[in-house]
Amino acid sequence: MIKFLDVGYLINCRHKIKQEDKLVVTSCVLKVIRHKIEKGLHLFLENFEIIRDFVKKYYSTMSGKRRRRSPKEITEEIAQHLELKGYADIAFLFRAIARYYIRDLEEHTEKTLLQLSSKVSPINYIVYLRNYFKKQNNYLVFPDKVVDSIRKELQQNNIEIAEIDDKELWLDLDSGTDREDRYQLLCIEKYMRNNGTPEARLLTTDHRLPDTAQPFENIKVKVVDCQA
Amino acid sequence: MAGEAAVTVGLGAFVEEYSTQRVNELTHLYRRLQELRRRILQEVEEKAGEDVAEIVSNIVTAIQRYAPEIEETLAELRRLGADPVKASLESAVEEYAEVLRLDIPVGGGKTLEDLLYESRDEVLDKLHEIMMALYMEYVEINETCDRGCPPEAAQKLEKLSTLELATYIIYKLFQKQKIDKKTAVVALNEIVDKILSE
Repeated sequence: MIKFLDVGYLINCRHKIKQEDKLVVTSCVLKVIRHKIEKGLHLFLENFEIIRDFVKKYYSTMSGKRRRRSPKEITEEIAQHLELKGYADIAFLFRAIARYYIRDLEEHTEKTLLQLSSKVSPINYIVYLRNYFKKQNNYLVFPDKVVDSIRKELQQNNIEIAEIDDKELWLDLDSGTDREDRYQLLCIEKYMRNNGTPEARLLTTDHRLPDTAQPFENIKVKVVDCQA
Repeated sequence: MAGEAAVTVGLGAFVEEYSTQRVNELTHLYRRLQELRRRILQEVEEKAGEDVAEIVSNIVTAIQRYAPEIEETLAELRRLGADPVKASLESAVEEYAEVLRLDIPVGGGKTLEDLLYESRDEVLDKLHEIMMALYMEYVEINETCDRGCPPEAAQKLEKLSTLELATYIIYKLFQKQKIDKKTAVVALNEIVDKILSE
């Protein structure tokens, strides 16, 4: 059976799925990720002082040596912390950075920040990230760099990227908090229709998605918990 | 015993004395540059307001006024085989790296890192941002200029150096309470934005 992967799955999970399954990611999913990264970046730069204060408070009780860790570990921790504080959009940006190898960012970090020491102080990392995004308006191209990295990893894992002509799909949707979820489902439905696929499964980390997917009878939603 | 004495005194004497003499000559010239920098900073600081653009313009004017003396020192450094721009850049990268390791003591048994986590000092936060921004830029230019600086990198370096001097002036004005915290933060914020947009 074809298994589709949604935005949450791509950001939170590593692909440990049996090879006999055909895995597909629609271009709509990548479009949603791009949009969410753009939004997360905008909010991160706008709320930088607040985020820095979170980081200060969170790590201030630890001693210097104990708070130092790899950039990926810090990114993961900050993402969790931001989610708890209700900054889900910025947390999404941090999750993507923690999960994927975004070449330009990783190479830049290696050449600059990691030259100071192999384990990084979170306050240095958060300031470094802010400067990296602001540097020569890097934030304008960063969402595309994230999507490119995801595409590359999907290709390496033999996961099909289905390009969907989504022009009407997005426009036809009325606004609502689940607009992006319905959009992803409509894209899957269109793929199935075009390819004569009678039934498919959608893997997600979003516990609300089964409700949103109810009208789509041929798409069976499976919620997985990759962070557990 | 006498043989051992002769060896320990004589061995490496020429090379050591020769290189020490060269290092002393170079140090003397770098000190002269440092002295000129102090005079420029003092001059700009005395008539500085809180406007970053005005401070930058005053720095440029003061540097132009001291240009003959600076050039003379640079010529002597070059005569001794030194590359003053390359040396300054490398030393700046090293010094920023040292400070950004955050383990330097700042008094009271605390390090700069402790201060950054514990204090809610906006000026310190802005200075940290500026130091990180300059470090990031200098590392990049140092790599580009490894075998000769292309004109655009040299131009960028010139602008960054001026912004670095402007940072120092704002910081001094704040320390001497000639400008308040809010004004200092606004000015430093403007500087970090300029550094990153270069």
